Amino acid sequence: VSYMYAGYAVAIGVLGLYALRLSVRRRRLERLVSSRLKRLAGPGPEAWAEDGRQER
Amino acid sequence: MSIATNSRHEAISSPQVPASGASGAADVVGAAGVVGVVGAAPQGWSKRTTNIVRALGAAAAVGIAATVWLGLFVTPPGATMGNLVRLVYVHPAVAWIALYVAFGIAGAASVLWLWPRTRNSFFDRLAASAMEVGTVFTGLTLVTGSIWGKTTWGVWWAWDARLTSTALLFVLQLGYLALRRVPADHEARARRSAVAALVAAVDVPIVHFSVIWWRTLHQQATVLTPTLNVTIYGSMAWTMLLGFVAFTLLFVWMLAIRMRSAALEEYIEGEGLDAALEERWAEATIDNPFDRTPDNPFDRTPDNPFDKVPDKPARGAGEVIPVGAAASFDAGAETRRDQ
Repeated sequence: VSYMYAGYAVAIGVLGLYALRLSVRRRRLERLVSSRLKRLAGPGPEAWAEDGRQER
Repeated sequence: MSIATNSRHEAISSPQVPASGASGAADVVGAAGVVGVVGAAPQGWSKRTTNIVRALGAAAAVGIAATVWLGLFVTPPGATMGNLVRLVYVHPAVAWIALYVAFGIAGAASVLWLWPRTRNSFFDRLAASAMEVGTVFTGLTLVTGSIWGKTTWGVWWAWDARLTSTALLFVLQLGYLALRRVPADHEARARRSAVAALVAAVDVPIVHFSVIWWRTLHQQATVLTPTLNVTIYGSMAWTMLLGFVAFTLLFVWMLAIRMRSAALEEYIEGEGLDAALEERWAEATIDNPFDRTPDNPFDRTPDNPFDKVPDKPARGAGEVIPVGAAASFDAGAETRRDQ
């Protein structure tokens, strides 16, 4: 009977972990593209430097 | 499991990636005057698609939970195998996805990509995603089958025709995934992958008919028999059917998520986001303090004006992490910071 439970545990466990991995990976890629597009649409490197000085 | 929870997260579109596709992206990027360089962002999921993917994830989670409950606690033990027969609700369903669904989709998509009239990068992404998810299911088919074999045959593995041809299929799938990682331009990679998928698909009928063509330890088919004479009845048959449906829904959900990731990866690789950001640095009148030179591999001086980010604060007080503009040139750094 323990083999039967092992079969279920392996199947559900592996598929659950893989689903989690797919999910996290997709969210990470969404954020990566998003941050780069935002950077490109922003004011530019001089403004980033100026922002840094003002904050300090 | 957290499948339903994940699907909820999946459904949330990033506010910065235009959900309306090309025109939205052009608006965002056009402001920087680089629309020609980066093109349009991959089309985000509409609200309707998001809801469908959510529903798929939830239905798959509920279906699998119901299959496990019915399989373990409701259905009767088998006449000859006793409780071990309960593996019939998992192993054949997983094998169904691995052999027929995943390979069916990957094979059809590969043919459609190779056919000049229907050639579209969508089919390449579909084939690759189906093959990757299918590889996980093939691996599980081998593992759950091996567990079942240990209890019925007394060994974890036998060089039986069904087992060996399935193992060969798994190796072919791993080869396909390795082939996709070989550096090449998009079209060359798609072409060689499509051919590899079709070569691997030749093994599918061999796996299916192996129990008929050769004398094998593995039992004959339970459902997909040559005469379609099903050899399972009552609650056991319904539970098995529910398992097939639930695992198929899970596969479709995984395929949707994987395809979205593939589209984003393709966008990052192909649309020159990094090149566009480099161009912006080149246009700037100041030096990029994060230029990776031997003298200055990564500037971490306290006076560095880029040690604060306008849009993302650094984590942890006193933490000297260069999370400035140039950090976004490094995909690895970006990803690590998100963790």
